[in-house]
This record gives sequence, C-alpha cells and structure tokens, in this order.
Amino acid sequence: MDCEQVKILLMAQEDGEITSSQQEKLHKQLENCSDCSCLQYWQSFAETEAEMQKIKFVEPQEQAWNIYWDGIYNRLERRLGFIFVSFGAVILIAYTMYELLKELMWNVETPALVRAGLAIFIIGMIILFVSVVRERLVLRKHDPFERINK
Amino acid sequence: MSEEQNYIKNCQRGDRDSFEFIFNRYRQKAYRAALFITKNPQDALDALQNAFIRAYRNINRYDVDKSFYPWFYKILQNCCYTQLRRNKNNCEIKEISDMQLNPAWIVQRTEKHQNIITAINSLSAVDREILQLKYFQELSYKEIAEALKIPIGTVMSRLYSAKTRLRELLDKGE
Repeated sequence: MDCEQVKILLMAQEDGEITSSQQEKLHKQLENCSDCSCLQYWQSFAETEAEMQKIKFVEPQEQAWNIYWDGIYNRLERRLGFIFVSFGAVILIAYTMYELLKELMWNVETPALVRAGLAIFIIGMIILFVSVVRERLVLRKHDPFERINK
Repeated sequence: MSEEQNYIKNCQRGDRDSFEFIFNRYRQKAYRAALFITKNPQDALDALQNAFIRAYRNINRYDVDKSFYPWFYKILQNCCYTQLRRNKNNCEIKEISDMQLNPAWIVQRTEKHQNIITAINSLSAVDREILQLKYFQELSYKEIAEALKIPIGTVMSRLYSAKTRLRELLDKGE
C-alpha cells in the first residue's frame, strides 16, 4: 500500500466511512511504519474542515418556505385539471376532424383542390404526431441531460 | 420501515400532503445544492420548485429501499441545468462551470470562510462538486456515489484529490 492509499484510508477513517476490511489493512500498514508522515497529513486540514462545516448560507425565511410550498402544492393539484383539459381537447379535436372529413372529403361537391389540401394537411399532421411520439419515447429511454458535462 | 419511507409510500399512493414532509426535510439542503449549480438565488428557487414537482410526479420510479436524497439530487441537478439553459439562451456549458460561488450568500462571513470560498472557487468543477456534496450537503460516501453514479472508490479518490488541492491552495494563501 502506498502513501496515497494510506492517506485515502485515513480520510475515510476520519469521516467515519471506513469499512472493517479497510480498517484492518490500514492498521497493518501503520504497524509496519510507525513514523509514517501520512498520519499527520490530515491533522492540519481538520481546522479547515471544521470551518467548512460552520459555513451557513443565506436561506429563505420560514414564512417564505410556507408560501413556496403552497406554490408547489397548487401546481401538483392543477396537474389533474390539465390532464382532463388535454384529454377533453383531444376528443373534441378528433371529433372536429372527423366531422370536417365527413363534410369535405366525402362530399362530391367539394372542389378537388380543397380535398387534396385536406388530405395533405391530414398526412402532415400524422407525420408530426408520429415524430413527436417517437421523440418522446426516445427521450424517455435516454437521459436528456447526459450530453451536459460540467 | 423509517418515517421517511412511510411518507414516501403514501406519496406513491397519491397522497400529496405526505410530500410536504419530504419537502420540509430536504428543502434547505436542496436549495443550497441548487444555489451552487445555478449561482443565483432566484434561479435556485425556480429550479427547486420544478425539481420537487418532477420528483412527486415520478415518485413511483423511486426505490424506497435506497436513500431519497441522491435520487432527488439527480432530478434537481437536471432542473438546474434546464433553468440555466433557459435563462442564458442555451449558454455554453463552459460558462456554467466557470461560474463562481458568491460570498454574499454566506451568513457571518469571517476571514477564514472568505479564504475557504476563494480557494473552492479556484478548484475545478469536479472538485467543487464533490466538496459541496460532502461538506455543504453532508452526504455520506454512499450517497455521493449514488448521486454522481460513480463507485465509492472513485468518491474516495476524488474527495482525496479535491481536499489535497484545497489544502494546497489554502497553504499558499497563508
């Protein structure tokens, strides 16, 4: 075990994160080198660590947190409303499209140009819908933030 | 089963009120983390709100046998990045990592604290992250490993390097 590994294990010991097998290894190592300088390595850092733990950040007051929680709660509650509105809108749009098709597409009096325009519009909408659904499914499988490296 | 696990189980059954317990338990820690990433109190609060909402909506994907905070931290981190990108008009990632900690966010700024913050600001983004998780988020090695999705051994070596560099910087400054 080199000096760096000893320092890492000493750090873990200080943090109370050392496992029993690591503790045993460290103990054996330190027995073999009683004047090891690694032992003193973290001593000078202890004061800095204590100071770091004392650092307090300016945070919102209790009352502000309560108002903040209300905002979260309301947004969670509203979600159900948005789901219902969205489903309702989908049904209404689908029905309107169906009626439009029935009125214009299947009507022999509708000019051919309007029917062609409608057919192209519907095909375009289907392509967009499939594309959006596929994108959503792919994003669900992959972390959208994985390309962000700090 | 712990009290927290009980509340999370209730959330998974759709109980929104139980989520308030989770919110109150982690709000300050999470706010600090968001502040570190966004470097702006308002952005931190916006990202935090989105993170809590996203966590609640995805609570069924959370495994109650694991620690909650590392799972939530990942969501929070993503919400912070989204917030930064939204504000900075798709800013370069370099800009994000170059942002510094503002001593104005610290209560009772002593000279020692000031020196520590200056030294932390001089470290790399990777070093800053591991130090903030350890000292300002007070996470265990296991929780850090879960939050960063790295093995515990890597947490130990990264923390060792970050602390060593911080020590060197502080020694130079003295």
